[in-house]
Formats: sequence, C-alpha cells, structure tokens
Amino acid sequence: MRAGPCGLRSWGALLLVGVIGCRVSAGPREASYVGRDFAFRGPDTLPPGPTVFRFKNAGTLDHELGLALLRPGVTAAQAFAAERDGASVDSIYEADGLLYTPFGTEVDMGLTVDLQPGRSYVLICTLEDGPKQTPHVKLGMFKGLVVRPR
Amino acid sequence: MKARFWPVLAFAVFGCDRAAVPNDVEVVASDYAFAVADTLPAGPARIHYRHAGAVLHEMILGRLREGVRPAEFADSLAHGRKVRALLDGGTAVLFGAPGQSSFPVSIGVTLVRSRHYALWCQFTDGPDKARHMTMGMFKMLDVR
Ligand SMILES: [Cu+2]
Ligand SMILES: [Cu+2]
Repeated sequence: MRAGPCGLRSWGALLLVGVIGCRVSAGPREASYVGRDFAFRGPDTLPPGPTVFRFKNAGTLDHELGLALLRPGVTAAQAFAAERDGASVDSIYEADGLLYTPFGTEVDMGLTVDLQPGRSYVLICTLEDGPKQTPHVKLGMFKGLVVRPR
Repeated sequence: MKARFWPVLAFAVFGCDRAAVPNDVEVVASDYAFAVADTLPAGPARIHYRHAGAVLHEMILGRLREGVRPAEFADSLAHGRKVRALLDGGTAVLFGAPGQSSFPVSIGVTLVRSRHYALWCQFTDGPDKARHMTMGMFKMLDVR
C-alpha cells in the first residue's frame, strides 16, 4: 500500500507542474513609480517582458504618469528637448499611454506593456497648474527608462 | 497512504489563483465611436485598444463613483463640465494614431462588480470643432 518511488516521482512532478503553473499565471511583473512636485521616483532600468506600471501621486498637485516608447535611435535627451521646446513628438514616440491621478486620489489601474529588450522608454507628466503655467515636464517630471537586453 | 498526497494534488490543481488570469477585452476606436461589449465580467481585465479611425483618438477609462448615474456622468461630459468629482480616483488613457492598428500598451484593471466604467475621447479635429465624446465617442460599460 505504500507509494513506491515511482508514485512519489509522479506526485513530485505534479507538484512541480503546480508550482510552475502558478508562476506562469502569477502574471506580469509590477513596476511602481511615485510622482512628487516635481519628479518621478522609481527604477531607471527594468528587465524585458510583460510589466504593469503603477503610479502613486505623492505630491500636492495633480500629476500623471505618461509612458512612451521611444522610436529606435531616439534618445531620452532628444525626447526631453522636444517636450521642453513644445515640438511635435510624432517622430519621437512609438506608442504611449498614461495614468492620471488628481491630487488626493489614487488610480487602481495600471499600464501593461511588454517591455522590449534594449529599448528606451520615458516617463513624463505634461500637466500644467493653470493657463500659462510651466508644464511639469519642464520642472523635472521627466525620466528615462532603459530596458535591459535579454 | 495516498490520502496524504491529496493536498499536493489539490494545490497543483487549485493552488494557482485562477482569478488572477485577466480577461482580455478589445476596444476598437473608429471615427467616432468605441466598439466594445456593453457589459463585462467582474475581475482582472486587460483592456486593449485598437485604432481603426482616420483621425487621432484617445481612450480614457474611468470608474464612476458609487451612486453616480451613467446619465448624469454623460450629461456632464456632453456639457463640458469637470467630471473629476464624479469619478472614483484617477483615469487611464491610451492614445492611437491612424495606421496604428495594434497598440502595445494596454490597461490593467480589476473590474468591480455592479460598477459603471466610462470610456471617452476628448480630442477635437481642430479649433472650434466638437469634442469627439459629443460625436459618439462615449461608451458606458457595466460590470456584472
Ligand atoms: Cu505633474
Ligand atoms: Cu476621438
């Protein structure tokens, strides 16, 4: 009636499937960023692969986390210069999305991205605090993010 | 003796958090409408955005505060009033340009049962033109 070595092996294999299966279904990695007046705090580099970006507004104003994939060959410095000068960013960004969090609120949604190995992204807040006010990007709410090679 | 292995089997089969597997939902933006199911199941979802229009669009997703009626929210949007107080927290936004058929960024959200979510586009096609949400780019999603 005892489970022989083969039996143990099969249960072990089953357990392994369970554990690996759990790891697979555990979902994408999370990357958390905090916005303050006027900077982003969070990782500068991330590994490639599916990632959910989360954003918390820890400032005293409305902020957003814009996430943009830079076109190949474009640097974060070039993207910043375009944003600073109010130039068109059509030739700079390949895709973008954002999380908007008014002051005193939270956003329980995330941006899910399959981070591409070796590619560069930028985090940006383009909000202004009123008409003719300086956009937050010019005050420091801009951050480059590099995805490590696979 | 084998009974002691049942917990292992149970873990292998049920141990994974099946609820963690998100439901993939595609929203197609055209000029000027969002095509997506009216009702969505509660739980984790990935909202994908596909641009099928000829002009620039955005897709803003926000959850209505409890007690806010969809008609009240739609009316505020249509009249250009601020909707911040009607929303439960912040919003997520995806942008799409003509020719961008598949979008590599999606919104990860845990849809809350019995709540209403709004999708809208605030873009215009130029100065003095109507905002797209007043031209049809507004959609209410109910979560069951
Ligand atoms: Cu900001
Ligand atoms: Cu639009």
